[in-house]
Amino acid sequence: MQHNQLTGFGEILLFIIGAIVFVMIALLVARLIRPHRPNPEKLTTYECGEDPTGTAWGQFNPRFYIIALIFILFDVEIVFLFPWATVFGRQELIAATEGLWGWFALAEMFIFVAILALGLAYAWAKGFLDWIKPHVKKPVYRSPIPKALYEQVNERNGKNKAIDV
Amino acid sequence: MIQQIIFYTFAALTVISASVIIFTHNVLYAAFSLIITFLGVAALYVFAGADFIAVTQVLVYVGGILVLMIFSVMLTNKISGQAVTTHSHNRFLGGLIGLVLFVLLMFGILQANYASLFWLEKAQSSGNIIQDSTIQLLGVKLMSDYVLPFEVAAVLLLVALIGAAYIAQRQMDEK
Amino acid sequence: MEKSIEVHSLGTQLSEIVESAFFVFPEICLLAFLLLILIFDLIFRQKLLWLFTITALLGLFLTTGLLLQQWSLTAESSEGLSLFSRMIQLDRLAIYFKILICVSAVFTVLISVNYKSRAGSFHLRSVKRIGEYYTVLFGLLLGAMLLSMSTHLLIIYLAIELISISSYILTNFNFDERSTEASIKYILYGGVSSGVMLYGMSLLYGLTGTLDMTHPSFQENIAAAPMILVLFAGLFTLGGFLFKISSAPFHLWAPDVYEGAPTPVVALFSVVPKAAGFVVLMRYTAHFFSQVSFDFPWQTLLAVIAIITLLLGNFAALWQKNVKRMMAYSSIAHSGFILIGVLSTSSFGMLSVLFYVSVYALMNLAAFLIIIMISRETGSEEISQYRGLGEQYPLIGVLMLIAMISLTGLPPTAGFTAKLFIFSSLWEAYQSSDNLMLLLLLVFGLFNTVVSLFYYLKIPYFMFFKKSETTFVADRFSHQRTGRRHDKFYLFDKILAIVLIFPLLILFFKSNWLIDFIHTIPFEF
Repeated sequence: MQHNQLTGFGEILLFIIGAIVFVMIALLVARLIRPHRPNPEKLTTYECGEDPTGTAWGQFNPRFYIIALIFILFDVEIVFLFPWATVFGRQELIAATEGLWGWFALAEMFIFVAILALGLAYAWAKGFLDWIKPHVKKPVYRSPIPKALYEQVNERNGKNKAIDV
Repeated sequence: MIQQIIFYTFAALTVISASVIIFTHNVLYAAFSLIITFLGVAALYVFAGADFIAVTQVLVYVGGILVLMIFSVMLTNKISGQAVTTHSHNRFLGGLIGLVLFVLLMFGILQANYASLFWLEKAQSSGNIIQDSTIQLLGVKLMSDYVLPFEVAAVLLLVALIGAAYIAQRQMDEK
Repeated sequence: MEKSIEVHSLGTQLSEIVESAFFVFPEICLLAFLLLILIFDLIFRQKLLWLFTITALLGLFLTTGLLLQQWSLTAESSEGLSLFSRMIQLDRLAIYFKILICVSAVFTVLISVNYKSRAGSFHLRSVKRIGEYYTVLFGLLLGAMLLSMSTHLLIIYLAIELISISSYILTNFNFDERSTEASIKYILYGGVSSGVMLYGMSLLYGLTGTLDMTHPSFQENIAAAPMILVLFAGLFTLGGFLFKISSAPFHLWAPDVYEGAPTPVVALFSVVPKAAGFVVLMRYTAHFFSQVSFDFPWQTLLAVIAIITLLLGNFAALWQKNVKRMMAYSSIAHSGFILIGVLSTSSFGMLSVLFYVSVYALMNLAAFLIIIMISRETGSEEISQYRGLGEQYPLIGVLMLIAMISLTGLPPTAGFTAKLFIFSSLWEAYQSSDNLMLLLLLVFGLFNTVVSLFYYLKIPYFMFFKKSETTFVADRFSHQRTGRRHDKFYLFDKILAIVLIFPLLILFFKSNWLIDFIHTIPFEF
């Protein structure tokens, strides 16, 4: 049967098994040597030092979906590009077809890529890829105290701090 | 021998994770176990000698489609702190139909005896069997025999992208 | 590694493919206009809305022109050309259907010009989605045109997917709750049926080693393969085609989609994918069913499917209160009638299918156009709202009456001629095969024609014999007081309706005009 192929994929399988085993060993060793004293503080979700609020099951921004969609489009495109890339410049094929092969393969792939690129252009031009920027709300409150007074206070505090340090 | 062990391991992995998809109520777990199913199927493709399809399976399905599926689970409106669950209806009838179909198909496939099929025997006797990587052969076929499906696939992807992106965008605007 | 690539024949093959491209000019033209409209959409955004409709019509006219040229170039006797290394087959049958598809598309575009959905979210004159609408519409047409040429299972699958995906998107174009629901249902049923079809195709490939139905080795291997598996493969593949023609048991999507989708799109759905589905079904019957060696009663099987489709379509239509839903069941029932022509597998059967599909396209487009016009007037698609409209607008009433009589299949309309052909071809098939099922089918077909009389004629009955409700009467009085009745129907729509209805009468008296045309199509079952 296809022995060359199977041995090739056998190496990949070994890598996968190796990766799994390494992770397992690391976790196991950590479990064996670490102290085990949990408290509620330790068991909370780590959120950059903040107290976590709400749930992780929040709703995602639908824009992620559109971006994933476009990603798939180009994923499929790449899949078609691979076999093409291995043969399109082959000398003996070009020689056997008097040069037609190269031009033909190039033209066909150009059409393919151009049609798909139009899809990207569509999503781009229509603004589907634009990220919604959060509205920065400028405070409309006007303080009765003049700004110069604040600066004075700041300056004084700054001085105090400088002395403190 | 070792090949067979690996084969049956992957086959079992595929079947088990596929049944998890059917029997779990949590949609997200189903999506995750679909990853394992896809990986298992990719391994089975390798055993079938379809190396390129196996890589494609991992690249497109595991890398792309599943990300999209998990996104769409997370995009679902109704989520507010609890998992998205499903329920199955007509379990008995559905199971029965599935079982009958399975038995009939198994019967048919076993009776067919694929190894002795006319065209396979002919190919075997003429030595016209792929021994090595299929990718170059695929490249040549894609640019000669299958050039029309290749270009049609581009149009199909374009239309699907436009429609899906537009509908998703439109739903977003309405909110 | 180099040995596996056949180098010596590659040169001739490539030049053959390049030559093939000259024979698919209509498709290339359609694709070019698809891309052009998309580019226009990116450049002009929301301005110059009329330009899109003009461009779309121009593209369709150009494609039709190229198709007519193709028709005149192909010889009457020739078997057709195999293009792109036997991927598609260009014969007169394909060209006829492609012309039909393009002409229906022209009318669909014209119908949708004045269409406005209830919430006003789909209106080509004012809303920015026009570019997407035409792009996806052209995608659907491209798929349908490919499907009518395809003899290769891979192309059949791709074309069906192209049609289906475009259809799912177009169904959602109303962007209201019902439209989205219909779209989701459509996707679910469509996904299942194309999965089933794909499984069947994979079994066929496994049994024969080729996906090309016209290939001699396909037929050889089918003949040599074990019966039960061929049966499964054949039936599963058939499922995908039955979905496209909305025949039982794959018809469940039709009522919801017809009700939820924008009406011009529904008019298109009821004609174009169905026509393409019937071509591929005819080719499949010719290349697959007729080739199986063992005694497989496929004619009986198709007859049973046709009977179930007829019964389901006609009886469910009786209870409908929404016109579009009723038309959905009516289109299911018509699929049953056309299936009769397919399973007759004679050249007369082929003729009757082509005639029926053409007439069906005309009357369905006309009926949907009038439904659109009336729903703009009454703001509703309920049959009960049709009360008294005939008195109020005699022209519309008469046109609707003719369309409905034609859909029923009564003289003096082409619908009668079409049904006559279908039943004659069935009678012929019965006489040559003595299959009792075919006789039963004939009886059921005639019985169902009578049943259909009740729901089709309900609409003209409401329009002419029921008095309109009080609110309407008051409305009319107010019109009378102001002197002139305000007619909301566009002149354009009226002319279009007459253009669509008129051939229905002509083709009854001069049916041989179309038949002479169809007679020049060589097709062997």
